[in-house]
Amino acid sequence: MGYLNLVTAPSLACSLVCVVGHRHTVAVTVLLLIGTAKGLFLARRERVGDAWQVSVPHFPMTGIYAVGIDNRGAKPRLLASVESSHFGPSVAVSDDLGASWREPEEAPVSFPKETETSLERVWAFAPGAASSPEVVWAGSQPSALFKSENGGVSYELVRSLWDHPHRPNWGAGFGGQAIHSILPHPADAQRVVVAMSTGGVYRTVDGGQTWAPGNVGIQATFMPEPERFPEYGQCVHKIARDAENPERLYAQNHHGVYRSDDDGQTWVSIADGLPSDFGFPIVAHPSKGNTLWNFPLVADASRFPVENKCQVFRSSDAGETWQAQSHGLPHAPFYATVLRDAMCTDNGSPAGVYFGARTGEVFASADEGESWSLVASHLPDVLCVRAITL
Amino acid sequence: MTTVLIPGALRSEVDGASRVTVDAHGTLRAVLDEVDSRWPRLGRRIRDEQGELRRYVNVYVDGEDCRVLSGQETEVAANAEVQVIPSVAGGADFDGDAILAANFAPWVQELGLTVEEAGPDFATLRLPWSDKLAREGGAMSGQALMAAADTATVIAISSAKGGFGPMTTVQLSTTFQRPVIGKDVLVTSRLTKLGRSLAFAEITMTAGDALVAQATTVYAIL
Repeated sequence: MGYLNLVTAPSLACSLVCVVGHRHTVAVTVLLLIGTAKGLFLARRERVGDAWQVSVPHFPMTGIYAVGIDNRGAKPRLLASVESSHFGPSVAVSDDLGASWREPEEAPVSFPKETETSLERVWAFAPGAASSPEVVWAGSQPSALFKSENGGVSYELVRSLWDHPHRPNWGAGFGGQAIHSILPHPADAQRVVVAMSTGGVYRTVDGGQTWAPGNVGIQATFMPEPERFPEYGQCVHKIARDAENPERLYAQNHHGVYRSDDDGQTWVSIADGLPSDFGFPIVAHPSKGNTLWNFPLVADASRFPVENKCQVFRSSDAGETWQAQSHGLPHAPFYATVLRDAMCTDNGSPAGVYFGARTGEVFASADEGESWSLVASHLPDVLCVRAITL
Repeated sequence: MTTVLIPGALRSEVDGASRVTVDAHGTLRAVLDEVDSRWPRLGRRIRDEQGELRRYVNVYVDGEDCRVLSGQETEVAANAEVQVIPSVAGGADFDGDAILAANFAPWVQELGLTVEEAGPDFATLRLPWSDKLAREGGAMSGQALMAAADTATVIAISSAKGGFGPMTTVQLSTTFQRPVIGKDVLVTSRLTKLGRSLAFAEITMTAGDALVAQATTVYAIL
């Protein structure tokens, strides 16, 4: 599919927040969900190059720590982790692209009484394998995995992981202790890989009956020298699965960028071509293998973009080499971080890539990161983004 | 019947009503259990899945904060009024050390007090041992302990109210029970009543595991 970069469109008069982009000829409607510290914004663009129409916030004054898009049914279902600092966490779903949301009467994600634990927040959603269309997974703080069998409306604790003998030793990173990444195997409903901070990667190959750590090769730089490669306990920030080779995973670690070619059992470094091995998000291309993006920060102790420059890095060879991509991104010194869930692709071809910063700016690329434009600015802190082509 | 006053942010769960009546009394827990069964979504915004009141939701029984009464065991008489109010501190972490740094006289700050813990009705401060605080004979001076007890109460009231506000000590009565030599003192001020204009607190001071002093105090909320 080809498209043209033509002229800048004039400002549009509308009651919503508008950002002027470039006029293109290809109609690819994209819906971008922007979860922020003060609500969920829905941004929509009808054609490549059109301005983005950004909604007023849904769930105002709540933190939207995760959004999910389940595109397996006849129409997409949107999932949102909604957290009120007063009234606690919840999960809402929408079957009309975010126009209306519903939430069950009973708590959709909650810990059983005997755990003596209370949900703090939902950090991640993941639709299950195509063969189990009603299964949706959710990861929480404190670190726990939940499974829904009704399309993400209500969930049950996955006891096998909660009862794992390692659990008392899982720690908390700066952001809290949570399962933030869930990667169901696309073809094998028995296999799921999760990642948590701290704890690292765990995987099941028997439908969640048993779980084993999968951190061989991943470093824990915050440990003393002889213990830097523990069986578990690493602070893995985010993992992603390759689109073409489902055995291949990518990880952005708390210092370290890695690839696994055995479904998350062992890992090798792919950080050599990057200016820094620290960062939070890592995102795989939705359909093209060996292609991924991240957003490097200088270091744990210096959480600024490398050279104070707003730039993402893309690899097209599974991490062997990396290219900076910053065309259209701000030239001015850029100090904001991009959180682990604040970068995503859509499901288009070519893929759209999106990221948001804690300073409330959101950027989009319709050409796999070659060029970028602003979706919105001056939003609250951007916590997560997810996108879908309609 | 008990009347439950609903804050604006939760009224969508009860068709916009600002107050509902429930056929339950006896204890606050019984009233909230009835709220849960009739409006589960409202109920889970007030208490978490373990039945605990959410940290930043305050519940008043006939005008008194249940946390300085008996929590969910607080007695609710027939025809009582239960008011649910989101705390002003929601979304902000209570920073007792920042309050210490910003609101006390320099000589109090020189005591080196730090906030160990603060909760809905209490605060625990650490008074570090210093030779400068020792009186003749080598034990910590009572003046230092009294200042620590007074300061801990300011932090406890601030924590309960969700932030610092003007207040003044009306009365502070201290009993000294054991000398402290060479040890830090943990000072816990627990509010026994927090009203609109007066607050009452009991303070215990321990060093090691030993009780060294106790105090009671009354504060005027300005």
